[in-house]
Amino acid sequence: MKSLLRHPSFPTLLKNDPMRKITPYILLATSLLSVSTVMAHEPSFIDMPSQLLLKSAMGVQNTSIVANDQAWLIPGVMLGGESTPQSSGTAINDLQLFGRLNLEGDYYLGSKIGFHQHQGEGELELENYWFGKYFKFENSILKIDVGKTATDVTPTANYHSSQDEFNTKPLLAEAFFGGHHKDTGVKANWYWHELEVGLEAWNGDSWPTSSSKGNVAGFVRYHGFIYGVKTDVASWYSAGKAEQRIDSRYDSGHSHSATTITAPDVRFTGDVAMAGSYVLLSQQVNDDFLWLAQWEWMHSEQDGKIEDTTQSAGIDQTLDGYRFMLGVNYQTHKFFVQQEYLAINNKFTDASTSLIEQQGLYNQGFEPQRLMFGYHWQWNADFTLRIESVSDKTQSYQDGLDKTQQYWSLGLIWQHKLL
Amino acid sequence: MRTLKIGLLIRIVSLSAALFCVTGCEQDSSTIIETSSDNRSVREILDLPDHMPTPAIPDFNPLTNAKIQLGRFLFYDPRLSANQAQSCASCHNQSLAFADGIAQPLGSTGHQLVRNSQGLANVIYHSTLTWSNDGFLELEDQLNVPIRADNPIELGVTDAKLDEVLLRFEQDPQYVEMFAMAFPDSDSNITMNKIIFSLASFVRTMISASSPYDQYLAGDKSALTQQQIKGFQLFNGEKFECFHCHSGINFSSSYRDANTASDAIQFPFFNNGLYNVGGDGSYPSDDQGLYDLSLNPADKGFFRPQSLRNIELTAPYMHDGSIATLREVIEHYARGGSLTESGINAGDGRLSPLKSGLIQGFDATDEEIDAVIAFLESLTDEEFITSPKFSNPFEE
Repeated sequence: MKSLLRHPSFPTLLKNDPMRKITPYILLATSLLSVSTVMAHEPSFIDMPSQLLLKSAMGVQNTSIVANDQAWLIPGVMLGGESTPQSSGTAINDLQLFGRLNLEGDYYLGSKIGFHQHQGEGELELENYWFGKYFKFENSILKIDVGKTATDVTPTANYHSSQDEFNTKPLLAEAFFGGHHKDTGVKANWYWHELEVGLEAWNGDSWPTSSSKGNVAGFVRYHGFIYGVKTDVASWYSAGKAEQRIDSRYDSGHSHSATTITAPDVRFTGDVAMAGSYVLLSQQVNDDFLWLAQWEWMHSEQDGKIEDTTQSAGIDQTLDGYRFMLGVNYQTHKFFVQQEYLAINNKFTDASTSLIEQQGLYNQGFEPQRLMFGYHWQWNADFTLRIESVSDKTQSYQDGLDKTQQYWSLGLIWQHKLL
Repeated sequence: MRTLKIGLLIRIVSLSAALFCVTGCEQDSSTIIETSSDNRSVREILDLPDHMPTPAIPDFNPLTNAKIQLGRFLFYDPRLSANQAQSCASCHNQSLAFADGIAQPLGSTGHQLVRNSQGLANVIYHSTLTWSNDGFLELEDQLNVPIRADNPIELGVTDAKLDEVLLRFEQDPQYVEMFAMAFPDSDSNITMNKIIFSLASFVRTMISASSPYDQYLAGDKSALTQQQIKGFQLFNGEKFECFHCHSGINFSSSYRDANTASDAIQFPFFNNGLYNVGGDGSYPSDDQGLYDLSLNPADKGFFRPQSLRNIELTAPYMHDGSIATLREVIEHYARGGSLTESGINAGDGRLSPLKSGLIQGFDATDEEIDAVIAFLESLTDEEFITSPKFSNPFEE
């Protein structure tokens, strides 16, 4: 869910920025072109220069939604990957060094070094590196990327705090992609007019697939202007497998404290299929005002077997997630509200309730939700102040009450083009 | 133009909200548990509560109420011993969760046994049976030992005594009728196999699943005291490390149920540092555990991790009943092994080269030990030890 406001088609509209004056005309012209010409819609990467870009997000959060020695569990959902909520206190939520080098013959190299801080511990890694080439045809463009990178099926799968409206990860990203997707594979994107068709083949190491069992994905996307409204509509599908997949968010499935097992130790083996659709709309109404609306639906089916240290059972899980966001941008101020919602339907075969409950997989009528309000103030080309308030209702409690937890965070987004 | 755009915005927002509500707001979460017909039949016969997994029942001896009922009579009948001095219940007392409270009991002929009588609660969930035999995978195999073995003699139904014992049952009209009902497709007489199949069926019904811990699992969060919850957390923590060997619903890593694939069954045996005779990890020569079968020196002192169900009632502890109380058991593990200071079995189990790597020792306060003991006491199942289903039918 990279912000549309930071999309290349929507340059930052600072008050003294000369682009501010001409952007509406550019948008209008682009809109007209998109509906009246048959020329190929050139995607933004064609003109992307070689560059070295630093993006970061840091902030302070007033409270954690889980205690330090406990796991964050959404009833009924098998979580994994990097699905961990931010802790209270200050943290570097995201630090990325993004580099791109264009080569002769429409070849290019890309890499991204990322630093994320979770549970008070930071991790620096070479998150993405890829090699690509694009082929220009008369009315279309084909782009092929090979390497360790992220899926293009939905921007939600590629969440980063420094690029997103909110410091809190989308609930859909947490539940469906283990925070964010990263895997080794090949992507082919074909652009024809306002249509984009993508096919991807992955190693299968990114949650919810595992163990290099392979994963394929495909999507169809329209991105253009309809009546002056920038419209981005897509549907996607992916299928893969998982083998002995374990929730490794908290290392080995139990804490190293004296007292508490903190995470489920259930292992899942079976088929994983996901699909989704999204609609992203935005419109620059005038020099000062832009609105946006986003709707997204995701669906996953996991069909296989779960095992803990002793027991096992068949599982057929369907998970549906919905995200709805509205935003307005007035001069250098941006306001967002986002609601997310999950519905979990688990069908077990020959299972005891002790297995299901101890692994946090029992959910009868609880729909996890998260409501977020955000405010950005971009007072400088490089700096943005971010404030957000979150109402999180993703956990159930032993007393049987579904509690909504409130927290806020204050943060700073900084991005700088080094080269 | 502005009005048109605002109108469009309102329509888009309304459409999006409607999409969200139509597709999302009306969708509920649910959990459904389906049980296959085979498992349903077993669960009904055993009257299993939902939190217990369906146990594995061998195809060659399906559970029937008639066999269970016959097995219950046989379990309590001293005529099943050659000299009619003991029954199974002599060493497996219901009030003690089918243990006997004796370190090492005597057999029916007075033969001193070398091992402690195990409680029988939930033996159906163990992957192997007895203290240290990795070949006893079914009760039908294991039951031959207490009934028919001549060294040690327990019930003493040796080959020489077999016909005499069978004749006792053939001459009892009530037994003849029960055997006929239990084995309706058989036209042969009473056999030892039928006795063993019936006993196995009865013992499989001995499921303990109503302790305060079970009630806690079933949703009654007041079933455990705060001290017991603290003990549960310590039990599952990295300090005490209990859960590595005593895992799952039956508190033993020696586990299987109806869902366990044959290639996934675990057969754990460990040396827990109870002895270190001669410094090479040996145990007392009269019982070296798995080594006595395998003759592999690395198996010396290897015993199966017991279920902890009703552990409060099954003292004394360890394979030889050498530890009297739960506190002393925890102190043994806290020390990282037991010290035998003198005698022919002298040695420091903490230094045993064969001891499991999981037993490293730890510092525990009295308060922590009290909490773990309190939790272990929450595994005591009053219903199990008083249930008429398992009681002596001759006393009804």
